[in-house]
Amino acid sequence: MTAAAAFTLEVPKSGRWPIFGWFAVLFLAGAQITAFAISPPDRDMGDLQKILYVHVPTAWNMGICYLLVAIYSFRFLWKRDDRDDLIAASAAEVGTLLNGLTLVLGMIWARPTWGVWWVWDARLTSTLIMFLVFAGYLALRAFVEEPDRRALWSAVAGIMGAINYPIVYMSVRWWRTIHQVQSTPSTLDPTYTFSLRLNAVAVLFILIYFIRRRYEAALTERVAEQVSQAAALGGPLNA
Amino acid sequence: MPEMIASNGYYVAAAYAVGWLCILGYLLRLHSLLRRSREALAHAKTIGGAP
Repeated sequence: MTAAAAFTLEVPKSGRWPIFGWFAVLFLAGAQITAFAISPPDRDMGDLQKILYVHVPTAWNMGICYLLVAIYSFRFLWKRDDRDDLIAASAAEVGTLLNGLTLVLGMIWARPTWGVWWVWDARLTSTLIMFLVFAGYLALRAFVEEPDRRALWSAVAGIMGAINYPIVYMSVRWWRTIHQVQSTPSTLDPTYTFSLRLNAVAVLFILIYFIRRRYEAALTERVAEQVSQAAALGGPLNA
Repeated sequence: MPEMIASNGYYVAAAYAVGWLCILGYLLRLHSLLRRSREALAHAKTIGGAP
């Protein structure tokens, strides 16, 4: 059975997702205001420490996106359900956005603390490589028109790309690097952990909203394609 | 010292501005994608005669 044949025509509903979107945006704004209000300047970095609350949550949630890509790519290879392919693709797009944002925020933080915008060290280079791999994944999806082949190749590329994430995460321990070790509640002053966790949850809500709505758009588009194909073969179709 | 703190403020402001620009930019892209996909579905239904 091909992926197209296994697909059931069902138009996704927006439901209460627009309300959740507003909630996520307001929650993020509130989390950032809270972080500014309650966390004191760092002894060495001063207010530059505040970049922690955007850079680290973005990097963590990028990892969640790539984990979803791996899980749903495996599911697609196993069950050949188009919906798994579309969820993986949606997570990959949002992950690439967060990956690019992590890199840019890191550069903005690096300039005043390290004195340079960029260093070719293990953490930065591996993060850049992962960004390029997933940019390639999105390009692959854009260029391959046949849906079954696109889904199959994307699943393989998505799994290969997601394998990079543990390397990125552990790079600061495996190699000598200018980047500090992973910022986790255990490596951070307790004064900053609450705000960091709050902002991580806020970015997680944004991520959930982005992936769900991107999936909704992709699935609606796929249903439209199937309705058009069915109409071309000559029969009315309930969608 | 005050100059350094002031210049650091620009970096913090730049980081948050970039973050929000990304989020708002992607929200606009999502809005556009959703609108286009619904239009495509409505068009396909018109051709196919689906209710």
